Amino acid sequence: MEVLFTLASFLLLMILGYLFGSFAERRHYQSIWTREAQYRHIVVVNQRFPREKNVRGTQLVMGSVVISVDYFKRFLATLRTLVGGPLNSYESLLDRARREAILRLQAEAEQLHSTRVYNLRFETSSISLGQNDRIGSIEVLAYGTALIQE
Amino acid sequence: MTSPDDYEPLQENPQLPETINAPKVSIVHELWLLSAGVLATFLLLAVMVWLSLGWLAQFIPLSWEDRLIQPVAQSWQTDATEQAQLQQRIDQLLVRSEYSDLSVQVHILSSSELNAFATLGGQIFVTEGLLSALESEVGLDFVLLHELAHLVHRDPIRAAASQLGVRLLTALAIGQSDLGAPTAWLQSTELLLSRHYSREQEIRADDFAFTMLQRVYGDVEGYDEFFVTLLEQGDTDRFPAFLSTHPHTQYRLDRLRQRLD
Repeated sequence: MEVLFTLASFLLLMILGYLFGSFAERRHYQSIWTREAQYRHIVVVNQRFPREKNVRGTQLVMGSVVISVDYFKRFLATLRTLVGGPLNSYESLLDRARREAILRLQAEAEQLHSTRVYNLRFETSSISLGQNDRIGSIEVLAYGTALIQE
Repeated sequence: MTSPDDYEPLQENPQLPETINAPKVSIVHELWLLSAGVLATFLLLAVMVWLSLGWLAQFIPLSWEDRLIQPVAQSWQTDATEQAQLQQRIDQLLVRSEYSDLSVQVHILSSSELNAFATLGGQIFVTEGLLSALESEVGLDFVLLHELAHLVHRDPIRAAASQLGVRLLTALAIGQSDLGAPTAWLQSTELLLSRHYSREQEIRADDFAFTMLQRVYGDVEGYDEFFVTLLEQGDTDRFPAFLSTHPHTQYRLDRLRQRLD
Protein backbone atom coordinates (compact mmCIF):
# COMPACT_ATOMS: atom_id res chain seq x y z
CA MET A 1 0.00 0.00 0.00
CA GLU A 2 2.76 2.37 0.99
CA VAL A 3 4.69 1.41 -2.11
CA LEU A 4 1.65 2.11 -4.28
CA PHE A 5 1.25 5.52 -2.69
CA THR A 6 4.90 6.39 -3.29
CA LEU A 7 4.66 5.17 -6.87
CA ALA A 8 1.46 7.10 -7.52
CA SER A 9 2.88 10.34 -6.14
CA PHE A 10 6.05 9.81 -8.17
CA LEU A 11 4.05 9.31 -11.37
CA LEU A 12 1.86 12.31 -10.60
CA LEU A 13 4.90 14.51 -9.99
CA MET A 14 6.53 13.25 -13.17
CA ILE A 15 3.44 13.96 -15.27
CA LEU A 16 2.89 17.36 -13.68
CA GLY A 17 6.57 18.18 -14.05
CA TYR A 18 6.53 17.21 -17.69
CA LEU A 19 3.29 18.98 -18.61
CA PHE A 20 4.01 22.22 -16.77
CA GLY A 21 7.69 22.12 -17.65
CA SER A 22 7.20 21.74 -21.37
CA PHE A 23 4.33 24.22 -21.43
CA ALA A 24 6.47 26.80 -19.62
CA GLU A 25 9.41 26.11 -21.90
CA ARG A 26 7.41 26.56 -25.10
CA ARG A 27 5.88 29.79 -23.85
CA HIS A 28 9.23 31.09 -22.63
CA TYR A 29 10.95 30.48 -25.96
CA GLN A 30 8.12 32.30 -27.76
CA SER A 31 8.65 35.28 -25.47
CA ILE A 32 12.44 35.10 -25.88
CA TRP A 33 12.19 35.19 -29.67
CA THR A 34 9.80 38.14 -29.63
CA ARG A 35 11.90 40.20 -27.25
CA GLU A 36 15.18 39.32 -28.96
CA ALA A 37 13.73 40.79 -32.13
CA GLN A 38 12.49 43.81 -30.19
CA TYR A 39 15.92 44.53 -28.62
CA ARG A 40 17.96 43.66 -31.71
CA HIS A 41 19.15 47.29 -31.99
CA ILE A 42 20.74 47.12 -28.52
CA VAL A 43 24.10 45.58 -29.35
CA VAL A 44 25.67 43.47 -26.62
CA VAL A 45 29.31 42.42 -27.05
CA ASN A 46 31.99 41.14 -24.73
CA GLN A 47 34.69 43.43 -26.08
CA ARG A 48 36.39 45.45 -23.39
CA PHE A 49 37.35 48.62 -25.25
CA PRO A 50 34.56 50.45 -27.03
CA ARG A 51 35.22 52.27 -30.27
CA GLU A 52 32.24 54.55 -30.24
CA LYS A 53 32.06 58.27 -30.72
CA ASN A 54 30.17 60.83 -28.70
CA VAL A 55 30.12 58.83 -25.50
CA ARG A 56 28.64 60.91 -22.72
CA GLY A 57 28.98 58.33 -19.96
CA THR A 58 28.93 54.67 -18.97
CA GLN A 59 26.78 52.71 -16.58
CA LEU A 60 26.66 49.19 -15.24
CA VAL A 61 23.64 47.23 -16.47
CA MET A 62 22.56 43.84 -15.16
CA GLY A 63 20.10 41.12 -15.90
CA SER A 64 19.53 38.37 -13.40
CA VAL A 65 17.40 35.22 -13.61
CA VAL A 66 16.71 32.52 -11.05
CA ILE A 67 15.40 29.24 -12.41
CA SER A 68 14.41 25.95 -10.89
CA VAL A 69 14.49 22.50 -12.41
CA ASP A 70 11.20 20.68 -12.65
CA TYR A 71 10.70 17.19 -11.18
CA PHE A 72 10.71 15.48 -14.55
CA LYS A 73 14.00 17.00 -15.67
CA ARG A 74 15.62 16.34 -12.35
CA PHE A 75 14.68 12.67 -12.50
CA LEU A 76 16.02 12.47 -16.04
CA ALA A 77 19.26 14.08 -14.88
CA THR A 78 19.54 11.59 -12.00
CA LEU A 79 19.28 8.74 -14.47
CA ARG A 80 21.82 10.49 -16.68
CA THR A 81 24.36 10.66 -13.87
CA LEU A 82 24.37 6.86 -13.78
CA VAL A 83 25.41 6.41 -17.38
CA GLY A 84 26.94 9.75 -18.37
CA GLY A 85 26.40 11.71 -21.56
CA PRO A 86 24.91 15.10 -22.39
CA LEU A 87 22.31 16.41 -19.99
CA ASN A 88 19.92 17.62 -22.66
CA SER A 89 17.14 18.29 -20.22
CA TYR A 90 19.26 20.88 -18.39
CA GLU A 91 20.79 22.38 -21.52
CA SER A 92 17.58 23.99 -22.74
CA LEU A 93 16.90 25.28 -19.23
CA LEU A 94 20.28 27.02 -19.02
CA ASP A 95 19.99 28.30 -22.56
CA ARG A 96 16.70 29.96 -21.61
CA ALA A 97 18.23 31.39 -18.45
CA ARG A 98 21.22 32.95 -20.21
CA ARG A 99 19.11 34.46 -22.96
CA GLU A 100 16.57 35.79 -20.46
CA ALA A 101 19.41 37.36 -18.46
CA ILE A 102 20.69 39.17 -21.57
CA LEU A 103 17.17 40.33 -22.39
CA ARG A 104 16.78 41.84 -18.93
CA LEU A 105 20.15 43.52 -19.30
CA GLN A 106 19.00 44.94 -22.64
CA ALA A 107 15.78 46.15 -21.04
CA GLU A 108 17.81 48.07 -18.49
CA ALA A 109 20.03 49.49 -21.23
CA GLU A 110 16.96 50.65 -23.13
CA GLN A 111 15.72 52.58 -20.12
CA LEU A 112 19.06 54.43 -20.18
CA HIS A 113 18.56 55.09 -23.93
CA SER A 114 21.75 53.17 -24.57
CA THR A 115 22.16 50.99 -27.66
CA ARG A 116 25.63 49.65 -26.86
CA VAL A 117 26.60 47.32 -24.01
CA TYR A 118 30.29 46.38 -23.80
CA ASN A 119 32.21 43.90 -21.71
CA LEU A 120 29.36 41.43 -21.19
CA ARG A 121 30.03 38.86 -18.44
CA PHE A 122 28.05 35.96 -17.05
CA GLU A 123 27.94 34.57 -13.55
CA THR A 124 26.16 31.31 -12.86
CA SER A 125 25.71 30.04 -9.36
CA SER A 126 23.71 27.31 -7.71
CA ILE A 127 21.57 28.60 -4.89
CA SER A 128 20.45 25.22 -3.58
CA LEU A 129 23.82 23.58 -3.28
CA GLY A 130 24.20 20.83 -0.71
CA GLN A 131 20.51 20.32 -0.18
CA ASN A 132 20.09 16.73 -1.16
CA ASP A 133 16.40 16.32 -1.59
CA ARG A 134 15.62 19.78 -2.89
CA ILE A 135 14.99 20.61 -6.47
CA GLY A 136 18.02 22.50 -7.74
CA SER A 137 17.83 26.22 -8.51
CA ILE A 138 20.44 28.40 -10.18
CA GLU A 139 20.95 32.06 -10.76
CA VAL A 140 22.32 33.39 -14.02
CA LEU A 141 23.56 36.95 -13.88
CA ALA A 142 24.60 38.90 -16.97
CA TYR A 143 26.29 42.27 -16.55
CA GLY A 144 28.05 44.74 -18.78
CA THR A 145 28.82 48.38 -19.37
CA ALA A 146 26.22 50.42 -21.19
CA LEU A 147 27.49 53.38 -23.20
CA ILE A 148 25.34 56.43 -23.00
CA GLN A 149 25.78 58.46 -26.16
CA GLU A 150 24.90 61.99 -27.14
CA MET B 1 46.59 40.96 -40.85
CA THR B 2 43.71 43.17 -39.84
CA SER B 3 44.04 45.20 -36.67
CA PRO B 4 41.14 45.38 -34.21
CA ASP B 5 40.48 48.90 -35.42
CA ASP B 6 39.77 47.95 -39.02
CA TYR B 7 36.31 46.45 -38.69
CA GLU B 8 32.98 48.15 -38.42
CA PRO B 9 31.27 47.80 -35.04
CA LEU B 10 28.06 45.75 -34.99
CA GLN B 11 24.91 47.71 -35.68
CA GLU B 12 22.56 44.95 -34.62
CA ASN B 13 22.63 41.94 -32.33
CA PRO B 14 22.82 38.76 -34.41
CA GLN B 15 19.99 36.27 -34.43
CA LEU B 16 21.05 33.31 -32.30
CA PRO B 17 21.18 29.81 -33.78
CA GLU B 18 18.54 27.70 -32.03
CA THR B 19 20.02 24.22 -32.16
CA ILE B 20 23.59 24.59 -30.94
CA ASN B 21 23.39 25.27 -27.23
CA ALA B 22 20.07 23.59 -26.62
CA PRO B 23 19.63 20.84 -29.19
CA LYS B 24 16.01 19.87 -29.77
CA VAL B 25 15.74 16.33 -28.43
CA SER B 26 12.72 14.50 -27.15
CA ILE B 27 13.16 14.24 -23.40
CA VAL B 28 10.35 11.68 -23.16
CA HIS B 29 12.23 9.44 -25.55
CA GLU B 30 15.37 9.97 -23.48
CA LEU B 31 13.46 9.07 -20.32
CA TRP B 32 12.21 5.77 -21.78
CA LEU B 33 15.62 4.85 -23.08
CA LEU B 34 17.40 5.65 -19.82
CA SER B 35 14.88 4.07 -17.48
CA ALA B 36 14.66 0.92 -19.60
CA GLY B 37 18.44 0.60 -19.55
CA VAL B 38 18.76 1.23 -15.83
CA LEU B 39 15.87 -1.09 -15.00
CA ALA B 40 17.28 -3.88 -17.17
CA THR B 41 20.67 -3.56 -15.49
CA PHE B 42 19.06 -3.62 -12.05
CA LEU B 43 16.99 -6.70 -12.90
CA LEU B 44 20.03 -8.48 -14.26
CA LEU B 45 21.94 -7.68 -11.07
CA ALA B 46 19.00 -8.78 -8.93
CA VAL B 47 18.76 -12.11 -10.72
CA MET B 48 22.50 -12.65 -10.32
CA VAL B 49 22.36 -11.80 -6.62
CA TRP B 50 19.29 -13.99 -6.14
CA LEU B 51 20.84 -17.01 -7.80
CA SER B 52 24.31 -16.72 -6.33
CA LEU B 53 23.17 -16.07 -2.75
CA GLY B 54 20.59 -18.87 -3.04
CA TRP B 55 23.35 -21.22 -4.06
CA LEU B 56 25.85 -20.01 -1.46
CA ALA B 57 23.34 -20.20 1.40
CA GLN B 58 23.36 -24.00 1.38
CA PHE B 59 26.83 -23.80 2.93
CA ILE B 60 25.62 -21.80 5.94
CA PRO B 61 25.99 -24.02 9.03
CA LEU B 62 22.72 -25.23 10.57
CA SER B 63 23.75 -23.77 13.92
CA TRP B 64 23.82 -20.25 12.43
CA GLU B 65 20.34 -20.78 11.08
CA ASP B 66 19.17 -21.92 14.53
CA ARG B 67 20.68 -18.87 16.16
CA LEU B 68 18.92 -16.60 13.68
CA ILE B 69 15.56 -18.14 14.41
CA GLN B 70 15.95 -18.42 18.19
CA PRO B 71 14.47 -15.04 19.24
CA VAL B 72 11.32 -15.60 17.23
CA ALA B 73 10.98 -19.36 17.78
CA GLN B 74 10.72 -19.06 21.55
CA SER B 75 7.19 -17.73 21.32
CA TRP B 76 5.97 -20.91 19.66
CA GLN B 77 6.75 -23.44 22.35
CA THR B 78 3.53 -25.23 23.17
CA ASP B 79 3.14 -28.77 24.39
CA ALA B 80 -0.25 -29.96 23.36
CA THR B 81 -0.69 -33.72 23.08
CA GLU B 82 -1.49 -33.48 19.41
CA GLN B 83 1.70 -31.60 18.80
CA ALA B 84 3.71 -34.17 20.74
CA GLN B 85 2.20 -36.93 18.64
CA LEU B 86 3.02 -35.12 15.44
CA GLN B 87 6.56 -34.47 16.68
CA GLN B 88 6.97 -38.17 17.38
CA ARG B 89 5.72 -38.98 13.91
CA ILE B 90 8.29 -36.65 12.36
CA ASP B 91 11.09 -38.08 14.47
CA GLN B 92 10.19 -41.57 13.34
CA LEU B 93 10.12 -40.47 9.72
CA LEU B 94 13.54 -38.92 10.19
CA VAL B 95 14.96 -42.11 11.60
CA ARG B 96 13.41 -44.27 8.93
CA SER B 97 14.48 -42.00 6.10
CA GLU B 98 18.08 -41.88 7.34
CA TYR B 99 18.08 -38.19 8.23
CA SER B 100 18.03 -38.70 11.98
CA ASP B 101 20.77 -36.08 12.53
CA LEU B 102 18.39 -33.36 11.33
CA SER B 103 16.70 -31.56 14.21
CA VAL B 104 13.12 -30.70 13.34
CA GLN B 105 10.41 -29.05 15.42
CA VAL B 106 6.78 -29.23 14.46
CA HIS B 107 4.09 -26.68 15.31
CA ILE B 108 0.36 -26.77 14.85
CA LEU B 109 -1.31 -23.62 13.59
CA SER B 110 -4.94 -23.03 14.47
CA SER B 111 -6.27 -22.37 11.01
CA SER B 112 -8.89 -24.09 8.91
CA GLU B 113 -6.75 -23.62 5.81
CA LEU B 114 -5.19 -26.72 4.25
CA ASN B 115 -1.56 -25.83 4.62
CA ALA B 116 1.83 -26.97 5.81
CA PHE B 117 5.17 -25.29 5.43
CA ALA B 118 8.77 -25.55 6.49
CA THR B 119 10.81 -22.57 7.54
CA LEU B 120 14.17 -21.53 9.00
CA GLY B 121 15.80 -23.44 11.84
CA GLY B 122 14.11 -26.76 11.06
CA GLN B 123 10.60 -25.58 11.93
CA ILE B 124 7.60 -27.19 10.30
CA PHE B 125 4.11 -25.73 10.57
CA VAL B 126 0.97 -27.76 9.96
CA THR B 127 -2.52 -26.31 10.14
CA GLU B 128 -5.33 -27.92 12.14
CA GLY B 129 -7.40 -27.85 8.97
CA LEU B 130 -4.89 -30.06 7.22
CA LEU B 131 -4.64 -32.51 10.11
CA SER B 132 -8.38 -33.04 10.22
CA ALA B 133 -8.72 -33.25 6.45
CA LEU B 134 -6.09 -35.94 5.97
CA GLU B 135 -7.41 -39.33 7.05
CA SER B 136 -4.64 -41.74 6.13
CA GLU B 137 -1.19 -41.90 7.69
CA VAL B 138 0.45 -42.17 4.30
CA GLY B 139 -1.27 -38.99 3.17
CA LEU B 140 0.01 -37.09 6.21
CA ASP B 141 3.47 -38.59 5.93
CA PHE B 142 3.74 -37.47 2.33
CA VAL B 143 3.05 -33.88 3.37
CA LEU B 144 5.49 -34.11 6.28
CA LEU B 145 8.18 -35.64 4.06
CA HIS B 146 7.63 -32.90 1.49
CA GLU B 147 8.30 -30.30 4.19
CA LEU B 148 11.28 -32.30 5.50
CA ALA B 149 12.64 -32.26 1.95
CA HIS B 150 12.67 -28.46 2.02
CA LEU B 151 14.74 -28.65 5.22
CA VAL B 152 17.09 -31.28 3.80
CA HIS B 153 17.61 -29.18 0.67
CA ARG B 154 18.12 -26.05 2.84
CA ASP B 155 15.37 -24.28 0.91
CA PRO B 156 14.31 -21.88 3.72
CA ILE B 157 17.78 -20.39 4.27
CA ARG B 158 18.40 -20.26 0.53
CA ALA B 159 15.17 -18.37 -0.06
CA ALA B 160 15.95 -16.06 2.88
CA ALA B 161 19.47 -15.32 1.62
CA SER B 162 18.23 -14.59 -1.90
CA GLN B 163 15.50 -12.29 -0.60
CA LEU B 164 17.88 -10.49 1.73
CA GLY B 165 20.32 -9.95 -1.14
CA VAL B 166 17.67 -8.46 -3.38
CA ARG B 167 16.34 -6.32 -0.52
CA LEU B 168 19.81 -4.93 0.14
CA LEU B 169 20.37 -4.32 -3.56
CA THR B 170 17.05 -2.47 -3.80
CA ALA B 171 17.89 -0.39 -0.73
CA LEU B 172 21.22 0.54 -2.32
CA ALA B 173 19.63 1.32 -5.67
CA ILE B 174 16.94 3.63 -4.33
CA GLY B 175 19.49 5.27 -2.07
CA GLN B 176 17.84 4.18 1.15
CA SER B 177 20.35 5.28 3.73
CA ASP B 178 19.10 2.89 6.41
CA LEU B 179 20.53 -0.45 5.39
CA GLY B 180 19.42 -1.74 8.78
CA ALA B 181 15.85 -2.10 7.52
CA PRO B 182 16.58 -5.04 5.20
CA THR B 183 18.74 -6.69 7.83
CA ALA B 184 16.16 -6.19 10.55
CA TRP B 185 13.81 -8.12 8.30
CA LEU B 186 16.01 -11.15 9.04
CA GLN B 187 14.74 -11.07 12.63
CA SER B 188 11.10 -10.62 11.74
CA THR B 189 8.23 -13.06 11.63
CA GLU B 190 7.51 -11.87 8.13
CA LEU B 191 10.58 -13.73 6.99
CA LEU B 192 9.46 -16.95 8.66
CA LEU B 193 6.06 -16.81 7.11
CA SER B 194 7.28 -16.01 3.63
CA ARG B 195 7.83 -19.23 1.79
CA HIS B 196 8.76 -18.23 -1.69
CA TYR B 197 10.26 -21.44 -2.85
CA SER B 198 10.72 -21.77 -6.55
CA ARG B 199 8.73 -24.22 -8.58
CA GLU B 200 11.87 -26.27 -9.03
CA GLN B 201 12.29 -26.49 -5.27
CA GLU B 202 8.68 -27.65 -4.85
CA ILE B 203 9.03 -30.30 -7.53
CA ARG B 204 12.28 -31.47 -6.00
CA ALA B 205 10.61 -31.71 -2.59
CA ASP B 206 7.74 -33.73 -4.11
CA ASP B 207 10.23 -36.15 -5.63
CA PHE B 208 12.11 -36.46 -2.36
CA ALA B 209 8.89 -37.12 -0.43
CA PHE B 210 7.82 -39.72 -2.94
CA THR B 211 11.14 -41.56 -2.84
CA MET B 212 11.24 -41.49 0.95
CA LEU B 213 7.66 -42.71 1.18
CA GLN B 214 8.62 -45.64 -1.01
CA ARG B 215 11.57 -46.34 1.25
CA VAL B 216 9.52 -46.13 4.46
CA TYR B 217 6.30 -47.87 3.40
CA GLY B 218 7.29 -49.84 0.30
CA ASP B 219 3.78 -49.28 -1.04
CA VAL B 220 2.87 -45.63 -1.61
CA GLU B 221 -0.89 -46.17 -2.03
CA GLY B 222 -2.72 -43.08 -0.77
CA TYR B 223 0.22 -40.67 -0.99
CA ASP B 224 -1.88 -38.29 -3.10
CA GLU B 225 -4.52 -37.62 -0.43
CA PHE B 226 -3.34 -34.04 0.10
CA PHE B 227 -3.50 -33.16 -3.59
CA VAL B 228 -6.85 -34.88 -4.06
CA THR B 229 -8.34 -33.10 -1.03
CA LEU B 230 -7.01 -29.79 -2.27
CA LEU B 231 -8.51 -30.32 -5.71
CA GLU B 232 -11.82 -31.46 -4.20
CA GLN B 233 -11.93 -28.27 -2.16
CA GLY B 234 -11.81 -26.38 -5.43
CA ASP B 235 -8.22 -25.23 -5.38
CA THR B 236 -8.50 -23.59 -8.73
CA ASP B 237 -5.32 -21.79 -9.58
CA ARG B 238 -6.07 -18.19 -10.15
CA PHE B 239 -2.81 -17.36 -11.86
CA PRO B 240 -1.07 -19.01 -14.78
CA ALA B 241 1.61 -21.44 -13.60
CA PHE B 242 4.59 -19.27 -14.56
CA LEU B 243 3.36 -16.46 -12.29
CA SER B 244 2.80 -18.66 -9.30
CA THR B 245 5.51 -19.74 -6.90
CA HIS B 246 3.87 -23.10 -6.32
CA PRO B 247 3.31 -25.30 -9.36
CA HIS B 248 -0.33 -26.14 -10.01
CA THR B 249 -1.67 -28.89 -7.81
CA GLN B 250 -2.98 -30.83 -10.78
CA TYR B 251 0.43 -30.68 -12.44
CA ARG B 252 2.19 -31.96 -9.33
CA LEU B 253 -0.28 -34.79 -8.97
CA ASP B 254 0.02 -35.79 -12.63
CA ARG B 255 3.80 -35.82 -12.38
CA LEU B 256 3.82 -38.14 -9.39
CA ARG B 257 1.19 -40.43 -10.94
CA GLN B 258 3.32 -40.71 -14.06
CA ARG B 259 6.24 -41.62 -11.88
CA LEU B 260 4.22 -44.36 -10.24
CA ASP B 261 3.37 -45.86 -13.61
